[in-house]
Order: sequence, then C-alpha cells, then structure tokens
Amino acid sequence: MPYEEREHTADILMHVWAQDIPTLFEECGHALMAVMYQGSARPDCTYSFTVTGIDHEQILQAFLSELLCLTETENVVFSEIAVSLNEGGLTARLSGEPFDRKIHGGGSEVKGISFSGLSISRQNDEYVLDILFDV
Amino acid sequence: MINGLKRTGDLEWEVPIGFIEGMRVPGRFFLSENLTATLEEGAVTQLANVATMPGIIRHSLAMPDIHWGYGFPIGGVAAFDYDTGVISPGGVGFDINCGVRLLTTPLTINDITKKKEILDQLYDAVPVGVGARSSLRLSPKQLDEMMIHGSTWAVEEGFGTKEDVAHCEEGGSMKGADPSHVSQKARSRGVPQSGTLGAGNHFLEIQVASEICDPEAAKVFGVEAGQICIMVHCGSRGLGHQVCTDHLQILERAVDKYHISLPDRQLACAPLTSPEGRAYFGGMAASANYAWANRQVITHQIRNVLAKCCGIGYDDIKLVYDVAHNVAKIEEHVVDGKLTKVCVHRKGATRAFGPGCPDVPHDYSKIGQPVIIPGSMGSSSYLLKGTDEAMMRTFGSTCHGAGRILSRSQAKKTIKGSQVRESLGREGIMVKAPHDGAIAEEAPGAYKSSSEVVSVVDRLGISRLVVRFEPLGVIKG
Repeated sequence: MPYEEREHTADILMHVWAQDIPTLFEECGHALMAVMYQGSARPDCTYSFTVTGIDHEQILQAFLSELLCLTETENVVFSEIAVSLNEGGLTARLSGEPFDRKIHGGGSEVKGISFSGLSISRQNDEYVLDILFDV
Repeated sequence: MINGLKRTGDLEWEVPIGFIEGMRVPGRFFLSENLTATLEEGAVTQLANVATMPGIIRHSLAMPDIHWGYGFPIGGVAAFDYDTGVISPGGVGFDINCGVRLLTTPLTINDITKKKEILDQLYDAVPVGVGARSSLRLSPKQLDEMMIHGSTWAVEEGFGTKEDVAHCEEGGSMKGADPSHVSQKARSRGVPQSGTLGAGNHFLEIQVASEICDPEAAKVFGVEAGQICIMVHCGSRGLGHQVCTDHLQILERAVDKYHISLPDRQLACAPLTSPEGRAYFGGMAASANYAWANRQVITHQIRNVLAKCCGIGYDDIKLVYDVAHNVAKIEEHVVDGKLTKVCVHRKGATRAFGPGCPDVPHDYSKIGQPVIIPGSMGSSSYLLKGTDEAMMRTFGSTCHGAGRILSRSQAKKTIKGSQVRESLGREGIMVKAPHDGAIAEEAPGAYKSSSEVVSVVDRLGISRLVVRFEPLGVIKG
C-alpha cells in the first residue's frame, strides 16, 4: 500500500506517495476508502465525474471531496479508481459495489477533506503528500 | 512548555505577537499545571495562525481542551469585527453545530433494572455508525423547512414538545439560515441521514447525576442527585459536512479576490459582509438548524423507547438544554467599553452566557446558560452554568469536552476495544457500538481528564460547576 497513517490527535492524517500525480491521486482515493470501509469490493457498478481547480492541491481536495460525497450518496464502496488529469482539473472513473455492513462495516465516518498542511512535493523519484481526513 | 510562550497567570498562557509572522493579536490559552504536558506544538501554531486573520479582536483564544485540529485548533474561540472581519469554515469545522443535549427523566438508578434491554432498544431506534440510514423520508420542501426552522420544525412535525424549543441555544433555530446556499449534493447527503447519530466521537449515553455541586442552579435546571439522565452528542451529518466542503472551495478561491494572506489554506475566509461570506453564513446557519432538528428527532426516539421500557410518560422526559460546539454566531460583546457587533467562531468550544443575557432561556435567566460538557466514554460528564466572567474574558465561551491526547491510530494500537468494553463492564458501564475499533478509538485513555478540564474553567470562573454525572450505558456511533 503506497500510503500510511501518520500521528494526528483529532483526525486521520495519511502520508501518500506515488511515481506520478495521477497515481498519487488514485492512491489518496484508495486511502480514503480504506479509512471508511473494511473488506474488499467487487467492481460491479461504475461511475465517473470531473472536478476543476487552480493547482494540484485544490484539484486533489475537490476530487476526494467528490469521491466522499459519491460514496455516501450512492452508498457504494469503490475498489477501482482511475484518474486522468487535464487542463485545470481531472476526470475520475470508479468502480465498486453497494455498501454491505456485514462485509464493509467497521470503518470510520469521514466528514471532510482538509486543506490543512496539504502540499504536494517531489522527494527523490516520487511525489508525496500528507492529507487530513476529518473523522 | 513550548519555547516562546509566556505565562500570564496561574491558569493562563500567552502566545506573543511574533510567535509566527503576521499575527495581529496575541494568542491566549488556559491550562492547569497537570494539563501542560498535553499541549501540542501543532495546536499552538494553529492558535497563532488564527491570530493573523483580518478583523480579529483582542485575542485568538483556546480553552483547556485545546488540541491539534485543522484550521482553528479544537477548543479555539475567535471574535471578528462585523464590519472589518472575516468568516471562515475553518473556524467552525466540517461538522457544523456538532453539539450536545441533556435530558432528565423521573427515574432513579434503582428503576434501571433492565439496562441491557433499554440500551438494545435505543440502539435499534437510533440509527448509528457508517452507512446508517434514517427512517424519515423528507421531501425537498420539508428539508427546506427543517433548515429554516430547526427544532421548531421538528416539534411541529411531532418530534417533541414546545418546551424543548425554548431550551436550545438560539431557540434551536438560528436566524439568517438560507437554504439557497445549501447545494443539491448537501441535500442528497442530508435527507437519508436526518435523525441519525453518526460515528466517531458521537454518542448517546445513559447517566446518573452523581454529585450536585450547586444546589440552587441544579434545582433551576431540574436536576436532582441520583436522577437518570440522557446525553446525546451529534451534529449536522453529511449535510453540514458538504456545506463546509462546498463553501471552503468557494472561499479558497475568494482569498485572492479580497487580498487576504493566510498561513493555512484551511483558514480560507471572506469578509463577513461580502457575498461569499454571507453565502457561507446562510448555509452554515441552515446546517446548524438541521443539526438542532436532528437532535430533536433523536430525542423523540429516546422518549419513545424510555416510555415503552420504563413505563414513564413521553412528557416526563425534559430537555435541560442543547448547546452547539462548532458554529460562528453574530453576537454583541463589550469591546473597549463599547457594545460591538462581532462574529464569534467557536470550534470545539461552548457558548457560556452569564445571568441576564437576552439569549438565556427565561426560566434560567437568574442562573446563566446551562453548559453541557461530556466526558470521554466511561468518565464523568458535567453540567455547568455560564458566567459574567466568560462574557468579559472569552466572548461568553468555555470548553466543550475532555479533548483528545492520543491519536486514533495510537489508541487502536495500544488499546483493545474488547478490553475496554470488559473493563467498563466491570465498573457497571455497558457499551454498545457497531465494532470494537470504535470503542478503542474513543477509549477513556485517549482523552484528557474531563474533571481536570472542567476544574480549570471553574477556577477561571468562565463557567461554574453545577452537576457531575457518571455513565451507566453508552451507545457509540
């Protein structure tokens, strides 16, 4: 897993790394799903959406916020996440299966995606960031 | 203690201007000797960050339950001049009007012989945890009414009594709510979650009033020693979370427009009088009203269960009060000797208005506003009263809870939920939760001592102890 939880007193701080920006965003999406749900999900149903922003941090926050809204309103746990960046935004394609408490229950409810401390940087050959989920 | 801080009193510390670049006012926080070891540098930096925001008055404040959050620290309080100041979702949080209410019953501990049955029925009646859905089917018009009228809407729909409304902060219905600033996404999240408890640190607790510290105030608030009470902690659910998200994104883009320089993007803000600032206020107030209605619906579910299980009347269960922990309010406070219109942000802090303040319910006017401070699972909770001292020193504010000291991951690594359940069981405290991880995260050892935190605000005089409660049964979200 190219992400790990770091210490934060009130909320969940995730450290995420990847070779390129689209993969970094996809891993952030997987990290969000891992906080919220347990177990695995079949890629039975598919969704897509686009978001915009003025920089990578704003686009990422918008992407994860949209993913959070979608998982909650559609009641779907996403297991496959593909991101393609374009001018001023991204398109995300996601697959998953409906939430089943017996399979996916036991995670934490995420309230929102914070900008606090969010900064994408390049370290050696990787892109890295810390992102805070309010729980 | 962290370098650069200045002690200014027995329980009071200052973060001087210059601690970080751009501070307009000093920071001030309140801690006892016993709590100083719990202070995190991240929380102090966040307190200093708030002090850089335009229009901030007097101090960036933090209560003794201060801890590291996002944007404002948790326990943070800041007042901004209405004409020159700003409003920020980072000073309220994603869970708008996360708050707590206290109910009394005519029962004593001897009447609670079927505690497991009561907890089981409460657990079935109140949807809890991730993915829980409401049995309510709100139409778009009903949701609008709920967001405009809050508790009043809920009571008119049959979820309570008229007396409940008077015993809520803001009468359970904040003025200025504007559902046109609540997006379709927020509505889609809010409809299936109305009347649900949520997860994380949200809870429903059966308690017993174990110590009366101020008999006169306790009598006025309707609490007696040995009485069974219920405490409920939850907020505006996905609706409020989405309102924060939507307006955070709008304000993030507005920061440049208003030439505001900020040390943390989560503090994105706009002038209170700007279109963006007004839009956030309207959406936030609508979410706050949703939260009051939400707690009212849960109260209705609790009353039905207790009436059925304990043979008491629905109306025998009284609402002592309901307070908001995460909100920004337009209030008048004395600043430099003049009554001044300000916007007070309380993020993980409780309003604590003193005797005679116009917003204190008529029947509590001589005592002051009830202040409800939940402890962590398995520890004491408290009822306090607001004071004149709070009006003078903290813009009528006090602490909101115990305050975390262990991260959730540390708590889960070092504490086993099943052991906490067993250990509390041996103390006579029954716990129900969707999974053991939720118990470990919220274990008593993950929090500061609630008794120490309330003793600080009592000693400072920014609120005064009235009643101590001990838990008997807990439902965790």
